[in-house]
Amino acid sequence: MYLECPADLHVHTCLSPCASDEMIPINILNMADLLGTKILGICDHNSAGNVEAMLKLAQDYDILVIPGIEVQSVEEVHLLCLFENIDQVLELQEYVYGALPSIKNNPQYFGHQWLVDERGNILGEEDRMLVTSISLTVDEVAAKVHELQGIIIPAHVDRKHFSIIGQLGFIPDNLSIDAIEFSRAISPEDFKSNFKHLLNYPLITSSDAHSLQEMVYQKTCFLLKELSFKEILMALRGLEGRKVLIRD
Amino acid sequence: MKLSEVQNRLGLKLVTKITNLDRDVAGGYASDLLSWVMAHAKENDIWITIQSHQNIVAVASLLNLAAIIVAEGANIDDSTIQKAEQENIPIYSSDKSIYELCGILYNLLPGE
Repeated sequence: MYLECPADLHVHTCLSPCASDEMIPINILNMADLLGTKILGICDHNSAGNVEAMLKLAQDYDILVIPGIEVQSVEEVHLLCLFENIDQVLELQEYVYGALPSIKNNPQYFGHQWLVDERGNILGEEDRMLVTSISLTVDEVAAKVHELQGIIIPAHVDRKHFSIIGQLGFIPDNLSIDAIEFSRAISPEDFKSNFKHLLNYPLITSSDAHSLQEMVYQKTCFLLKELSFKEILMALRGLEGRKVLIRD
Repeated sequence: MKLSEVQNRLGLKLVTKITNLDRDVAGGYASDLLSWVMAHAKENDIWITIQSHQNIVAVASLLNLAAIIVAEGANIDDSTIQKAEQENIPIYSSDKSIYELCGILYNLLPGE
């Protein structure tokens, strides 16, 4: 009655300077296809530059690509921001670019930020430094994402750095978020016993893959009526039988 | 040393209005990772940070810190200031760097 949809909502492309050059749309989609992943969130650091190529190629696969950005707030908190369509993610990108410091990336130290087409042909290189904090707060980013009807999920909350827990100590009550993500560095069992105070939020866990090999981590599964962004939102809210499950 | 004296010697600007300044400062602590501060700062420390999210107030309140100094002219949200006034946690602003503030403070406070 419900479709079981394995999901990985946090995958980087070769636009992220820290990601491998092999993270081009065709490789990512073929890997997801092999793994049986049905929902793929594309979240590069502070940019959605390769999302369009991902969406274009995804039409040839039975995979729902979710346009996203992993925003780094002024507090150095990483936030997955996911949307139904490209226009929404590009609007967030504009908001983020307006708040990035005017520093240029140095590929020698940080790595290349490749903009590519579906097959990985290089279209250009993003020269803004993407792996840095924007000047907006967690609360401001959350408000913007919700204004654009998106989903906001604090990333890898179990990590000491670049996580809402590491940077801010705890999740403020008045912050509106749709779920929390834990990393593959901790087992679901250990997460549930070490972070009991966070279990009232819907949980996901993602690969945060920067290479194809890392995509093998696959433990989140959505139960949906059909493969769509709206259904994912319903599952995160536990509406009408839709669910999100974490496999051990 | 009294908080008001630390304020004068460091040239700090008080941004909260209705907080109690009549308290002693036992030591100083500097970090921007709130989870780390929660685990390591001590009661009656004055805490120097560039983090200005409202959660700094909760951390200071939890540990009973003497006050917070938001260094390097970092912007402080109104929501943070309001929360600090509710919780009676003085917040200061300074244009000095964390390094400078720590240096001056270290020489002001008697060693343990």
